[in-house]
Amino acid sequence: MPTRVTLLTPAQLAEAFALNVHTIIAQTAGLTHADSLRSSPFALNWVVGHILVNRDRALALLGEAPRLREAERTCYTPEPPQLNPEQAVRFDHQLQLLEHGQPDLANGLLRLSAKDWTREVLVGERKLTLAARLFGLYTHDTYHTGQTEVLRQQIEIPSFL
Amino acid sequence: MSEAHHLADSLERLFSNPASGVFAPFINVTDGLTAAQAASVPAPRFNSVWAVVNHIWFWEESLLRLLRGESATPEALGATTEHGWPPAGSATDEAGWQAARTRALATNAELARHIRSLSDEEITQPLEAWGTVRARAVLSIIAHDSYHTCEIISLRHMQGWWVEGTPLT
Repeated sequence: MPTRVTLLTPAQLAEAFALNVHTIIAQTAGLTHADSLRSSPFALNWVVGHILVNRDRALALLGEAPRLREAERTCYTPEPPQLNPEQAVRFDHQLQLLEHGQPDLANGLLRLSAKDWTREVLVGERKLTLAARLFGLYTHDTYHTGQTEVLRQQIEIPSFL
Repeated sequence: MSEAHHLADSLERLFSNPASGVFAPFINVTDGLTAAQAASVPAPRFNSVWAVVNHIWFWEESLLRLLRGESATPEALGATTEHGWPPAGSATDEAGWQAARTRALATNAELARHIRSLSDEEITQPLEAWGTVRARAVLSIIAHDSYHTCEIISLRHMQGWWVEGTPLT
């Protein structure tokens, strides 16, 4: 039996994703592209790029277009994370992609029927409902949203870096 | 398997299963620290790992008590405000640090056990103290755990205490 998360509605999940965007925008207010490359050991720029890669997975599941171009995506997928500053997406552009991608994510979610919501998807060898898969992507989104709080604090304390 | 059972599994798997598969869970990211490390902050204004552990525990314990029909005031849970930040312990209190970590894990397990015991009808009942229904409260706790777990990873990384097996995700 596939893992389910059906008590959450698509509309509620859209709201939850939106709250993360709101949090990230608030956490990063006033930070420059150079700031986004300064935090250590991981650049805030990498974390936001990683969040965008993750959101593109959700958009793909919903039949929506990804926000990052392929060349941009490859900057944020290596493990362990290694970001070449010269290849980094401009931070203000990252934040725009995040904000502008949210309506597509929400629309894709709101289009889902009850049958869509509970259809099975494969993640590796695991069978999940679409709802469970999207909820997993949301927890990942939230996980790294928590990281942006600490990295912003780090950037704001010059003596730390 | 009931909906409540699925929710409980997610709550527990993302917190205390070392092989959760989605990201490094709480049990991994709080492992291997001394009390001095857990109580340390990388710079002024940052949280310590211990404070975050207590904060995570506070909200899981609050939900558990409310689901049981008990009261859950900040004061009863060691916090001074409704934001839920019981203070970290002393940097020399090894037993206290281990107890704080163990308490958080135990509460997570107990919360999951309690949720599993609820019927599908019960899990959709209102949780008035939080202005939502029980299922959504559980989902918000899963999100809250996730948010602060990655905060702990960053606090560790900044101080040079790498988390084994975490290329960040």
